Amino acid sequence: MKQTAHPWRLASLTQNVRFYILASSILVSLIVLAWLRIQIVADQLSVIRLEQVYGFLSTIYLYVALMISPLLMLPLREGVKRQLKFSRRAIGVSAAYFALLHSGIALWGQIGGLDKLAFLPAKLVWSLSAGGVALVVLLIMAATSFDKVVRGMTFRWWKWLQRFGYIAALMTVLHVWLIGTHLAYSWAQWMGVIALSLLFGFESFRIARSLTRQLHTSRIVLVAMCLLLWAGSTAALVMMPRYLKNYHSDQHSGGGQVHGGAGHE
Amino acid sequence: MSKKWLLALLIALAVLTPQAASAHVVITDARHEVGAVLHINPDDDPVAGEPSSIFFDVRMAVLPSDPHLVNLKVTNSAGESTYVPTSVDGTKVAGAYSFPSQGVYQINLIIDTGRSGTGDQPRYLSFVQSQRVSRGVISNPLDTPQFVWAEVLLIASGGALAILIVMFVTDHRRIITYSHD
Repeated sequence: MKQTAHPWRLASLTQNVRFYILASSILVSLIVLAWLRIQIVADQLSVIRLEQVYGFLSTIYLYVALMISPLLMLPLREGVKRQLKFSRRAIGVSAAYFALLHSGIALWGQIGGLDKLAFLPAKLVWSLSAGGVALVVLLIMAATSFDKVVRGMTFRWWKWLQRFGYIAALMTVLHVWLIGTHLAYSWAQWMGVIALSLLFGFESFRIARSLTRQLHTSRIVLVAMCLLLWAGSTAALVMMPRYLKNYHSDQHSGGGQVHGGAGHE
Repeated sequence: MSKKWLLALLIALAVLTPQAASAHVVITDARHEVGAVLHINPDDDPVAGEPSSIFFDVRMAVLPSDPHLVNLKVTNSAGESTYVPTSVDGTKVAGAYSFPSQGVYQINLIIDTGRSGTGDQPRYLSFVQSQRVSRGVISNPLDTPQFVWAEVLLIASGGALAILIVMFVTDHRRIITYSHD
């Protein structure tokens, strides 16, 4: 007899892996909050670090959620594939949760409220807008992650909505690139490029395979299409610094007229 | 509680949450008319005794072209001030400074707008921000406040996470059986 997971009918949530993913996300957020407050005495810096860590965690969860679809193409055991597929929804909700925390702390803890947005330079406004779009998409996806909503929307339309996760990912990349403090360092840039290139590679294969199946073309076309998509997407990523400068890179480069100080008082 | 009300409550909580001032944030002049983004390197956490960089990105059409009209002053807790050499590039002001020791400093950017200073036209724009330096050279040990609530929260949430992991590990076969569409 097929045993299906319907969280609200099961005797206990504790038999649902999604419960563990969501509960651990909430606990991790509390641990991070407490740990940073203890470790960092300065109020200012603890708020900054909290916002940065929550943003990083959101990005990691989103990345993992996006990687699951390509991983399902690998020759894994059916049980493992089922678990990955089932866990993906909770991982996506966790990404939305950390994104919400990150946004709230950044907006009200660092910037000082919505009224202060008018004082921000244009590049920061663009970055926050991209982040805002990503947040809205993630929250909509989280809000529609309930089984009841999936049934109400029908699986077909719900699946179509999940495609917006890629828009959230693209907006997240732009947001992080434009404003991420640590992205000014080359090691962080390399880590990002490698991780995203890996994702692009898998997704390129997935897209190429889907297209070649529909068009009934040969394996050579599949390989060529896959390599073209991968190379194109990775090239666009690597060349991004040429047409979009990280906000903090501007500051690190320095320049301008130098004025000697008036000394001590 | 319906999901709609829960969402509205979350938004309300977010709006009503008290704000904390911090570095790498927006600060405004005394009249709250002009804003500036302050960022301090390295990583908003300068090290006493080592060079650090202070950046202001001022939300003005353009800063005064005469660099003598833009002054960056750092004042320690004893009231001793140092004027930091600055470079001006468009709307950005940068200065390099080594905080001599751990402590709380006041960073003050003063811009002479060249206006008359009467009526609604202030002569000077002043942006002030406190910066705590917690790393590097120590001359007078800083008070290290205790955050009892954070310690309790850390222990409680760490314990809860450990319990969750134990629950998962001990029941993982049943979880894997039930957890699929």
